[in-house]
Order: sequence, then structure tokens, then C-alpha cells
Amino acid sequence: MAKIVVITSGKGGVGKTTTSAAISMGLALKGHKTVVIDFDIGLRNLDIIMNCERRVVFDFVNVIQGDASLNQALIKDKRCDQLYILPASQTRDKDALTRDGVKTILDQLAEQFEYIICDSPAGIEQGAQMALYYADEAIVVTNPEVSSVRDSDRILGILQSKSLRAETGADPVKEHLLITRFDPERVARGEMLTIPDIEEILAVPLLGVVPESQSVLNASNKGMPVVLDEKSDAGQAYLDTVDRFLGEDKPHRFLEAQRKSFFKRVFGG
Amino acid sequence: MTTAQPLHVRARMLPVQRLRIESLDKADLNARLSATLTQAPALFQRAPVALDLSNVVEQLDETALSMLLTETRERGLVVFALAGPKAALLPWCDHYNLAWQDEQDKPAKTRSATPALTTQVITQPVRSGQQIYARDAHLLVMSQVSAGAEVIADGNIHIFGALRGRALAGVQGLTSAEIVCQHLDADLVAIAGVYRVRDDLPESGSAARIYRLDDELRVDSY
Repeated sequence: MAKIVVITSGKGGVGKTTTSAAISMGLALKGHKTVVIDFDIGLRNLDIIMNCERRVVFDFVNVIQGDASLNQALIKDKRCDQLYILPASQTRDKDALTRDGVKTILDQLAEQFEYIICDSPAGIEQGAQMALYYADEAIVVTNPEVSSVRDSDRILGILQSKSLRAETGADPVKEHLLITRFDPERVARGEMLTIPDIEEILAVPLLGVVPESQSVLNASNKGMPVVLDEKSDAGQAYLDTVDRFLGEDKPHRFLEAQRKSFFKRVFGG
Repeated sequence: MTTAQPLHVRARMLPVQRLRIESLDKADLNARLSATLTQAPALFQRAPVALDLSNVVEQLDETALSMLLTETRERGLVVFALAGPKAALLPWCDHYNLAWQDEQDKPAKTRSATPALTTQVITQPVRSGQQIYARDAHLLVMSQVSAGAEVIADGNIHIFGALRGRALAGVQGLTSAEIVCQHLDADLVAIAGVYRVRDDLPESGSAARIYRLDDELRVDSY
């Protein structure tokens, strides 16, 4: 039985697409057959982060409208054969998605894949609601700042009221909290919300904390999901997150500011 | 040298039986008394009894009252007071050296005609942007109310978590409505139209009970 997981946040720029790429790659590396769908019709980014934008021939909207088959549109990742990408259309807008159309595609994907990761667009309008409608689980991406936490709270409310599970009275969508762009030094200085603050405000179990890291920007510029950069703290944090998502019990890392070593203080770095 | 106080006054509430007299006809009365006393003889033996004369005060005269006292006392009741309209009964009380009690069986405090409120229970957190209205009901939230969320009730609102959003109780005008929460950090609280915004609320962040006193909102922190 395939699991449909939506990566959502409400607010833009918090790291939904980075997280979608990292988590889907992480699941695939663990041997789970995974597909990641870009629901951000009109502003597609996922294919760039996955380094497959030049291989896009058909997209999500083409499949919904019956212009292409699903297998024509699915792009197989070159680095991991367990991972497939269903790109968004750049030339349409979000109204091109219909509930029935999305359901047909998800049903077909569920026959082939273990995990279906839906990369939600920002906002709470139709596009975001479409991405989360069929979800079994949700990873809510939040930055440690008030506006992001507020928007995450909003999207959690929509998950509990406007998803298929909510409408049919099935078990509610399982929620996970992922804090990204976490900067322990700024938290220590009181410039950012602390993790206990965020957990208390959102009242959702914490799945992972990803530190603010230069390697995230580097990775997305190179089109390489950050989990493939094993040296980066963000990559390791995402791998831990994937392990926790699969049920492993792992302590959270990178929560404390690193003390700079003597050499770093003297020579900079 | 210690002397015992000669007098010590203590106010006590005593159970008193009231007999409401509905008729001054001697035969009627006897039959009724006998029936009652055979049913519960122990209840009335040496029990302090007040005669409630509210319903017969119009026809009351010396003969009737003396008959009443004799009949009841002969059966072992200790009649010590008359109950009923004060002006009419006080002269009789003085005459027979009896106490007077206020009329009983007033209708219990007048209740409004509206039916009792039910309670609507919310077990999930109320998230930003969500609005919940408990129509004709109290609202019980077992979790938190987030900033940007709004909970509204015709009756009381009780929140077993943090209140960070808005809570409006008694919105149909029930001024006795109240808001109780475990952690007060609200954007706005209102009871029957009287409201306070965050800036006017204490910054305690503790458990609080909010209620209306005249036209003011009172916030008690715990």
C-alpha cells in the first residue's frame, strides 16, 4: 500500500522543495521505490533541484489531460534507480489540476511505488489544497520565525479540515514537524524561536531539525539533493529525518551552536 | 477565677417540618392529619413544626386557629411557628406566643425560558484561520487555540490548553458566560460584547478565568 506524503508549509521559501528532494532521495537510497510529484504548476523548481530540467518532455498536466501516459512523463533519476520524478508544467497554472485527475494519477502511481511525495506550492489556495487533499501523512516545513510558524499552523488546520481523510472521517492525516534553516547561534541570541517554542505552538511531533547551511544552496545550484552531500550537516540531518520517518529512534543533532576551534578563531573560517 | 459564660449564642440551621394547611374544615383536617401521621409517625413525633397558613389566611379566625393548634398538638406535633403573610399572621403569633416564618414554597428563582445549553467538544487543536462557533452551547476545547484562530460560543468557553487566538463567549448576550483557559496569551477575549485585546490583558501567561462584572471584563490569573 503506497503512502502519500505531502511536504507543505503555507509560507514560501522555507525549504519545501529542498525537503521534497532530500526526503524522496533519502527514501530511495534506503531502497524504497519513491516518486516525487511537483504540484507547483507554473513555478516548477523541483526538476532543477533534481537536475532533470533538460529531460522534461511531458509533465503532470499533460498526464491529467490525457496528452501523455504516466510512464512517458515519469523521469527516472540518474543517481538512484528507485527514484522517479513527475515534473510540473511551467506553462499552465494551478487551475489545470482537478481532484479527479489527481486521483487517477495517484492511483496509478500507487500500483508501482511505495512512497508518493507531493511537493506542495506555497500558499493555502487551490494548488496547496490539491497537493494535500489525498495525503496520508504530512511533513510540515517550518522556519524558526513567527510568520512561518503561523502559516504552518494554518496549513495544519487545513490538513485537519479539508483533506480527503478529514472529509470522509477516516483516521486523520499523520502530521510531522520539520524545522529547517535552524541557526543555533541566532536562537542563542534570541533572534529566532527555540525548538521547544515551536513545538509548543504547533503541538505536532518533531520529525527533524535541519540547520541553516551553505551546502543547501550549493546543492540546489548543482541540482543535487543535499542528502547526497554526506559531509554537510544539512545532508546528515535530512538522512536522520528519513530514518525517523521510517520509524527509527534517532536523537536530534545540530541543535547546539558549534564552538569554533582555536584554529578557526585565529585563521577564520 | 474562671466563670462559665452565662449565655452562648450560636446560630444553627434546624430542620423544620412545614404543614401547609389547605382547609379549615375540622373533619377534613383530621382525616388528612391521621393519614399523614400513620404514614410517617416518627417524622412528626416531637418534631418542630411550622403551620403554613398562606392558603387559608383569608378565612382565619380565633376559633379556627385554636382548633388547628389543638388538633396538631394533640397528635404530638410541637407547633412553634406560623408561616405566611407577615401582616396577617403577626397578631396571631403574639396572641399564641408563636414564632413567625416567612412564606415558603416561593417558586424557585425565575429561570429564563431558554433551554439548558449543551456542550460542544473539540478534541483537535484549533488552528490559525479556523473558526468554531458553538451555537446554543458551551464550548470545550481539549487542546489549544492557536494565534489567528477564533472560538465563539453562546455559553462558556473552556480551553484545556493555551489560548493564543480569539475567544468570544456569550455572544448572544449571556453576560454570565465566562472563558477559562490553561494559558492565557490571547489576541482578544470578549464576553457578551465587552472585549479586551492583547494589550489590555495581563502578560502573565498563566491559567486564567475571564468573566464579566457589570460592564467590565475581569481576568483572574491562577
